[in-house]
Amino acid sequence: MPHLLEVKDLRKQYPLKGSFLSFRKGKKLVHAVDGVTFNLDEGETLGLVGESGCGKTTTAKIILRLIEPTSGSVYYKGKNIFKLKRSEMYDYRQEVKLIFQDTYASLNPRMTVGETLKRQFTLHAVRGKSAKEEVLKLLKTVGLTPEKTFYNRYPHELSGGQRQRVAVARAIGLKPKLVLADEPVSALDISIRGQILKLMKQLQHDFQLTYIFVTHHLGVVRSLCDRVAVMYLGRVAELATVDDLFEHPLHPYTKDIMLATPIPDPERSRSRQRMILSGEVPSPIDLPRGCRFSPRCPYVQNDCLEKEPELIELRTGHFVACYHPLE
Amino acid sequence: MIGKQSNEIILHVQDLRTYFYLRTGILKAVDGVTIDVHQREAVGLVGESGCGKSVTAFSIMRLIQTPGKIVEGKILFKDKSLLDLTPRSMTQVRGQDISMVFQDPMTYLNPVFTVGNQIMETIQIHRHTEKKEAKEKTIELLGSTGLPDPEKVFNYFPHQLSGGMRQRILIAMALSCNPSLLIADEPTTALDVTVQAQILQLIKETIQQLGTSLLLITHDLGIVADTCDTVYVMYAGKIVERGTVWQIFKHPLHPYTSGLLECVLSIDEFKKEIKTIEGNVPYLINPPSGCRYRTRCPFAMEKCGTVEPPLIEIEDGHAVACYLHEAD
Repeated sequence: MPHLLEVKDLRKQYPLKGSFLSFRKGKKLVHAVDGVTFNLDEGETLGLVGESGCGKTTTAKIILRLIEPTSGSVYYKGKNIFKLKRSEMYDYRQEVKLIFQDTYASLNPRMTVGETLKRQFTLHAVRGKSAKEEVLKLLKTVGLTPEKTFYNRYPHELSGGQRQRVAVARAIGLKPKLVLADEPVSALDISIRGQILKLMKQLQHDFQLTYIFVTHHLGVVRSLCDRVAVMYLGRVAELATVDDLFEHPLHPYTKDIMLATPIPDPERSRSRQRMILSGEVPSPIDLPRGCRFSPRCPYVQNDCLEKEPELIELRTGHFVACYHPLE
Repeated sequence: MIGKQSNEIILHVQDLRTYFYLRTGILKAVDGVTIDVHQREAVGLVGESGCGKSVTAFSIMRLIQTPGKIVEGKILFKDKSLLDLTPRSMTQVRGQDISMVFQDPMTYLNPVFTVGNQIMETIQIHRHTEKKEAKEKTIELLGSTGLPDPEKVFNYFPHQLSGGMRQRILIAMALSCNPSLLIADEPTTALDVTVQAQILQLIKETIQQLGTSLLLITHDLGIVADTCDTVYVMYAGKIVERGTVWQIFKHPLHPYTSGLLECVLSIDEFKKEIKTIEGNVPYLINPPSGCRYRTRCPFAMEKCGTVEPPLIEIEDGHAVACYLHEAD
């Protein structure tokens, strides 16, 4: 069976604007995404994790075709999405949806919840029942009951959790195949976070959704995703199933972020091995030579400084981009 | 954990009430909070957004601005009442005896002065030292927070530094006069995990060296489990549970505490079923009568709606405000 989504060697570079006094030739580039490759099967949940600036959001935006990549391709159901015809693109927009982190920014403050949700039905000309009925049904699906009250509310009248439910409702309204969620629960309190995650899991089950879950929170990934791609500075450092990744991390960076994540249990947290990574993520403008993790890597050796390691399948389904993977 | 703490209480907050007088009504952000911080102790104050944990910290520093007001309560720092100090003597306490690290360092650093200048200012004001001496001390401080090339960083402006480096500057500034108490309000929330681990390690090491006490305000139970000796759990302006880090995490008594702990998603265990606490945090202008958690509590009884449960010590050091544990 072909993959639902195939991402191949995706790259996105932004030219850096110099100050008006600089006459330097050869513009500098910000390498936001620098060769990302992965694929996704139907019904799967893939986590894209990494620290800020690692290119996870840019990757998601390219898949949605909100920005065009510098090079590389994305195949959806075997078709290159950058070569879709207008009518095919229209279908693509119905089948691939997005949930943002900040609902204050992504919901129009001047539109009621009902208007916001109705728009997709009118735009995509859903026939049969009237759009309002569909919206009420949708509100019930995402747990915003009584539906009629929420229909006429404005975003500012809702709590953070309720607004995120509206965003989820908007994403699933047209029965999409693939939903990209960009940090959907990062702005929420833990007690509310669980409600949204539970809802997303339920909807995945009910509507056979495929998720790409962009987040920096490894705990959320562990309980929600099937596979995880750990990104570092625009590249995938490691890609594996959740269990493989958390039980046997192969890339030193994966191990580092796992050790840096606090564990909410004094016993487990204080008894585990300590290794604190020094330094910060280098700038994506002047990338380090060779492996981009080498300046911070505790196991760095000579060959790491020469050539960038490729993402290779070390065990079945477990990919890593490292010359000296951990045992 | 910071090691052995003594029994001497350096900060005693009793029945603190800070209200905000808004057009729509009185918002009781902090409504009867009692906290003790012993010498060399690391105290964690945890709760979700809007529970009043930051307002508690700002009240201790007396940084509450109108329409907010400290209505009632006592804040004793080394037996000296902070609420009775003149604004001028309070300025001397801030930075010298108690200092604070904030979540967003960019807001608290002046963008038009170099970071070195800003740290030096603190030292000059409180220690009345010569400029040269203050500069030497500043560079030493910058070095001790793990910043590379402190002489160079001294002349940097805040915008030239990364988020993690700015937080290090704020910590250097906070510790410049060897305060007895450091209040850290979500010091690592804006940072990436690897940088967060560095900053937490830095805070732990330096306060251990200086013998400083810590009041750490956070929503992250992982950080508390790793850093604190004693934990206060706050909900809707009230302390609902207090205990040692072991008591709180191993034997939580309040339904809210156990609910929160169940909601947490940790990297070292797979949770098949994601737990939640239903409902929302109540609006503090018109909070529910009786126990404020009862609207979300699965064990709510009739009694909970009438009289508010007091914070009662159940076992040594472990106190809870819940009728479920009244009989024990």
